[in-house]
Amino acid sequence: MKVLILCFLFSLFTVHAQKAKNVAIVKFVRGVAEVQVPGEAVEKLTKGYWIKEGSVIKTKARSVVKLSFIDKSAMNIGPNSEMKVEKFAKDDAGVIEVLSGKIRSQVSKNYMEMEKGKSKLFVKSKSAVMGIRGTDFIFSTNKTNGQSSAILFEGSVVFNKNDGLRRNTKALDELVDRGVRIKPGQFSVAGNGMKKPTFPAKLDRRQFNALAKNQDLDSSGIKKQVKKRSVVPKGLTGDMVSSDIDDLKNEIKKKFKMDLQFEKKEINEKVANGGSIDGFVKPADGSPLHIESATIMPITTESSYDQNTGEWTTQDFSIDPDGNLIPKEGLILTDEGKLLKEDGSGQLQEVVYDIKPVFEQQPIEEMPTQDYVIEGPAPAGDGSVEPVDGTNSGDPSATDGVAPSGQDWFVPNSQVNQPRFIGPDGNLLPSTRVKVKVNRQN
Amino acid sequence: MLSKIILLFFIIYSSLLFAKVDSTNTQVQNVFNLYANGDYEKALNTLERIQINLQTHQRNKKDIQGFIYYWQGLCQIKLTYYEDALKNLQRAINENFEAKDIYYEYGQALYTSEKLKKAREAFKLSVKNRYKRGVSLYYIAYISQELGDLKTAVKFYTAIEKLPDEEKKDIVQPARMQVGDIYFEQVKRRKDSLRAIEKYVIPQYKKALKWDKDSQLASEIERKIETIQKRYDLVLFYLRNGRPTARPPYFMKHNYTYTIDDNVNTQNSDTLAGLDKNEYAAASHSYNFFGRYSLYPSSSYSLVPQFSMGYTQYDADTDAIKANNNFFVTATLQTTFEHFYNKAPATFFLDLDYTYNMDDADLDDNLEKSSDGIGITFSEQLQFWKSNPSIFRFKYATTDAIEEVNNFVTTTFTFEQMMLVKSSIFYLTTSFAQNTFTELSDQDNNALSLRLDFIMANSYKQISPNLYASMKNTTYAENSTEESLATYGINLSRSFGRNWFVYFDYSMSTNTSDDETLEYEQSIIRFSLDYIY
Repeated sequence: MKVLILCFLFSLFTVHAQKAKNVAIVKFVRGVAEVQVPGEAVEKLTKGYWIKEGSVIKTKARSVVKLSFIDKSAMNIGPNSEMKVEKFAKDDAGVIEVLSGKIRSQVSKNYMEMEKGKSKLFVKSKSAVMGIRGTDFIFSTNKTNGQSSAILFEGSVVFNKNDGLRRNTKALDELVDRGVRIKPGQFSVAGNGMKKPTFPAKLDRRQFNALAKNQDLDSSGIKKQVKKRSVVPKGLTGDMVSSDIDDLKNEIKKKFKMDLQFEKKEINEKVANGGSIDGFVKPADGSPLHIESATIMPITTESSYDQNTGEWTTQDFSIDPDGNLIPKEGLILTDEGKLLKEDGSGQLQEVVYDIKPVFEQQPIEEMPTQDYVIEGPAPAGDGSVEPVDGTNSGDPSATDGVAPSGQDWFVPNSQVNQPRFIGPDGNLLPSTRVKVKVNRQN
Repeated sequence: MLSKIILLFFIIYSSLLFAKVDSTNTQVQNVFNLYANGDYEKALNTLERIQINLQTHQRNKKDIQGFIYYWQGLCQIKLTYYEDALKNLQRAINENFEAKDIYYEYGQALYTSEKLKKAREAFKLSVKNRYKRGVSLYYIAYISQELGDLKTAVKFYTAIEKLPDEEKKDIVQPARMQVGDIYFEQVKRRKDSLRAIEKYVIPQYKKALKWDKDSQLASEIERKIETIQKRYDLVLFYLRNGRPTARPPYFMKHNYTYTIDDNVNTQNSDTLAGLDKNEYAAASHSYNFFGRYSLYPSSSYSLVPQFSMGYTQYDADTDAIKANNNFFVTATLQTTFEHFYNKAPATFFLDLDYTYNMDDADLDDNLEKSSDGIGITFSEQLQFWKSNPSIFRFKYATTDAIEEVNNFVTTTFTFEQMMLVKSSIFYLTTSFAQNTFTELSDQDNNALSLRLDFIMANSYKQISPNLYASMKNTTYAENSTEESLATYGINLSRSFGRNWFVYFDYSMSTNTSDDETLEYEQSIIRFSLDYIY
């Protein structure tokens, strides 16, 4: 009997061993990287190492691993990243799980020659899932804030928030189909606190160009901050100071005596400026993205505006040659994507902002701040939960959803003609929102 | 033979020349396409290639060269590579290249490179070229302001006002705001700053605000005015117990309500069985207005005159329904006294009101006075629990009806309590009313009411559902007849922007009584639209 059990266990082991097939070869390793095959010890990754299905690859700081898959797809795993090759086959859709960090992938065209309209490869994280129907993209995820992002350079991908359920590839396909379709040049973010992924928006052009060249996910680490003067003087907005393409057209006509064949593009400014589209949050076109934390940076009216493309370019951030964001002097961007600035007393304050249409966004200098807490269970301040009733907060933003001053609109209808609770402040009704008091400053 | 050779040479030379022109034009078209599509990096690369070709082939090299520098500068400005743009635009200017916008672009590149004085001169040339004159003047003024040359700054900001509408429409408001900023900077350190602020600064900001009250900048200007008013105590923002004053001091609301009522005259089922539907059920339209203005003689008192009026007309030709058409006007003078109770802000209210009612009881299609009445209400609003106000009221009111048998006096005691639970609100109202008729003492009655609302604020897509239930028990002096009215309903409300509010309300009522003739059932559907100023 014991022999039979042993034989059975052995056969199971061999079946498992057969299943864990080689799927990718390591083309190069820069820095330090490790791999763990299920049930085996952690090994250091070296050039020529064959990655098996189920393996988890981990890179250390400033380290990069380049893989070449059996179908000739290439994948770069960026610094401080962890990735699992869940499944990869020539004749079926593969599944890659990014546990943390970022990957850049160029999926082979052969691999894409599968059934049309279906994803050939799924890249997922805890917070997002992406069906690859194109070739060149960056996918990143951050464990701390639970957000993921995708940037597309070529082809097409569909991107959605991951509901956390374990799914087969058919179900994954259905899930991504309910998400957003990203076009080249665009990005989307999904994750904690978001019901849906963001509506795809054009990435900051400078960042996109730099990232497009940085296929190996290099990071020089040089981040020189400079004092930048916005081209937009205070009081005006980027669209007011930008020049029109017609001026250039006229100059060409004058100089070369030629009529240009040109149809001016109709730009949907409502879409370009960001806001809400079909229930999705849409960042302004030209928004920069902090890839490591999958955090979208704000675009304000001090940004310059391109009338040719409807894209905004912020002066609050510059882009290094590797595509990383460098905030302007006076601002700090943390690894978690938090934007900090110093208050008068030298204390670091976290800038609080939402992704809003450009014309509703205040300049970063005027955005509200809260105490920056690095870690610890309790928030700064007394941590008490205080309802904001619009009567004593003094914070106009806290009156979101509250009856405007003097307005009695949620008094029961039967009492509409007898306005009640309208005291001298004109607004004594409690608010519709409760917020945690964290020493907020305006 | 020679002439043939010359002719052949001429043909070859011309075709080469045209091919060259054609190739240049194609290249220009290509660069333009790249530029128009925002592919500025590629446009720059192509321009660089054209430039290399120029050095070897082109005859009018110098002329084209200037243009290429200019175009490279434009691409670099789009890419926000201002320092590179500055070099190329400078080269274009050195080549005597003249484009209408060149000094504007050059000015921008200088401005971002902190070369403010040179930038100012460039923008002056841009104004001379009549290019974006409004923005160029603004740049000149703004740079002057930054350089501390405030007189020049005001001069150029003011010059914007003289431009044609098309050129100035977006620039006037920010220019006026900047002038306000300059005035404020100049007067704030002076001894008589308060007077100067009232005389110059606030009016200047208000002038800026007047240009476009709905612009994004308008809210910034409003904030500036408010900050100064607070800082210099120009306007009372908080009362002595910390309650904010009504800002703005006026409040006005227009309302339209469409109602569908299946039992307008609250008749019992036996009576309804003998009637046509159009004799007891009808839709109605109501138009209402409410307005008030808050005055603050001191930080302890306020005087709030209020005014409301409404007109309701039923969509019915039957007399039984038409008689309900009505009109009312109410004027109220509310006074408040602010104090503390239990270390929390408290308010005492004294309200005096007068109401005038009209109806069409005589069915002559004209509304005539039916009654009028005066009332006095004493109320005290306290907070036993933070942010959960409680109100106690006592009201005494008399009604003088045209038909004297309907004259009566009402005395009401009311208690209201609001309870905030997370983002939902419980709202409890309980009251006891004593109605005493002057002539028909058998109609005297006491009514005890209880109503509870549960308001789920912004629970779905900014819609606030409100579930409510109420009970009213009335005892009549005559034979001690009792009747009980139970009502259940749901109200959905949603705001659209800052001014529009939409409501939907459905309620069901059942009245039971010792006297069967008083029993009835009624359901009402209301669609309501508010516009708030």
